[in-house]
Amino acid sequence: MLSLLYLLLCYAPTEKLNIQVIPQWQNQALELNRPYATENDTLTLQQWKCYIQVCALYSGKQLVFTFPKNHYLLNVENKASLQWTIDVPSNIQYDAIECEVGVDSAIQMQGVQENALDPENDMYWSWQSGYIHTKLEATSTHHNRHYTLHIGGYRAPYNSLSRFRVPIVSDTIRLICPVNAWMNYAQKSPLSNIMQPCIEAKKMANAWASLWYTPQP
Amino acid sequence: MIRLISLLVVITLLGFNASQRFGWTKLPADFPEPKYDLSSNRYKIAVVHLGRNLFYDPRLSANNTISCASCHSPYNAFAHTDHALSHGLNDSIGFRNAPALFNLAWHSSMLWDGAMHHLDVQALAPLTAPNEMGSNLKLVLNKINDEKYYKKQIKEAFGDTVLHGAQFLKALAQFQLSLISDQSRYDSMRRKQLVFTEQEKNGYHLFKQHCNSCHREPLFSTYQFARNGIGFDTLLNDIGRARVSHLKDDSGLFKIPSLRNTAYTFPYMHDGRYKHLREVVRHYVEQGTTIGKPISINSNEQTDLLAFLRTLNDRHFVFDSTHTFPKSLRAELEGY
Repeated sequence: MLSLLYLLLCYAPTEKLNIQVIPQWQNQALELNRPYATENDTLTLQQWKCYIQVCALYSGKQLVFTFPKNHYLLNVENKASLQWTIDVPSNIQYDAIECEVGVDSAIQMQGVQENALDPENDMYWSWQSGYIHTKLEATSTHHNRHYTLHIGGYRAPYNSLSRFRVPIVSDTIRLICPVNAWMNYAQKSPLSNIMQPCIEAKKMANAWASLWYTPQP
Repeated sequence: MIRLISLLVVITLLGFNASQRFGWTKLPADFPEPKYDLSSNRYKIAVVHLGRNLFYDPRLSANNTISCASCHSPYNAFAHTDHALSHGLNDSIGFRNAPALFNLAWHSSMLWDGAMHHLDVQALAPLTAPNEMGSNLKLVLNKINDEKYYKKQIKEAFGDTVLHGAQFLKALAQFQLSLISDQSRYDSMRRKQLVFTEQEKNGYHLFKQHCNSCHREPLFSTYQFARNGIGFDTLLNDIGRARVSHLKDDSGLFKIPSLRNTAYTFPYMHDGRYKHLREVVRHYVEQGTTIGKPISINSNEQTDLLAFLRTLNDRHFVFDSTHTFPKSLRAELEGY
């Protein structure tokens, strides 16, 4: 299948699709190490990293193109990691894009990976196998609480890989991820420290994927 | 014509065993197909060499005192003889016996509880555990990349001047893949190079009758998980496989160790509670496992079984100088 896609990309005319990920806190670009007021707390984020894989293009409900597997590591501290271009055949029509948050189990079952998936990026659990799909660390000043959300898990029943599909509304696909909405969800969770695959991690992952959207032009 | 050529190529490739296909000249032809995908980490002598140096280098630990070999000595078949539990930084004690390292290409998971599913990533566990090497990958890479000693080795291994995390782990994995134990008396018997004594023959017969389902030859383990029936240590509180799977039914399951090289790897079991192999045999005779009845063999038969188990010791492997501390590293570390 991948070979066919490769051949398709080699011989079919292609065009560049620009993708930009925008982590936000209440509609503003997310910044680390600054206090953010929430409903009943003040939070300071120290880390936000996340794996994303652009999977497919759709026209209505019809799948029109599947991308070769390629994981991107989004890091709010590294602006370059938040935007990239990918090739798509120029002869297809599409109006939606589907992405996965996390690293799929097929990749996870293989040996060590390079580049974005290199364990040196500090997104691989060291005491057990598996990538952390999303890492968020924050401190709460009011409640003296520390949030350590290392959300991952690739094996049933705690596979926390999650998908979202959003409409394409402009030439550059701007994917907004409202981190504050996710933190609202996290603050209601009974666990403020999640560092292993578990049912709560899976719930957090599903909630996280459901929040991504593309803004209207 | 193209189809015919393709067919011939496929037939030719199938005709080669794994060792020929992936350059691992030492892979025993009479072992099963490895579990490790050797095509993902193709044999290269320079990578093995780099991996060997990293394995013995204490600079991998936070305070430059503990190397992989601290708990995995070549003279103990890469186990830690006479220490029930692993040692780490500042004499901190772990909660399991350091397992022997050999024939790792045939393991389907790593560590006593299988927490690491792949040899490539296994090294991350001891590297970062506070009671083992207490470091982290970034710190180690910074140290290694700063060392003049490694510049040439990294270049020869990976054609690069900077060692990245994936390469570091692959080099360590490739050295460990090179630790193949297949030169025991048992192996010679199997290859019809010698004949067992009557006692060894009887022990082998008893082994096949009572032990082979879990400690399956020629690797002498299925590398699956099982309950050995030795009972829960309330001090260690080690629930085994359940720690990883979170499944209640997995509590008390541990990976079945190979019975090769037991003369060099005492003490035994995941918590190192038995110092002598005879005690282990006696446990299975008196208690059995939680899935099997006690083994019904008398004292003389136990002796015969032990005689057979001694045929699994691979002296050639244990004293193989290609696995031992690299002389150049010894010079490098002098005065460190």
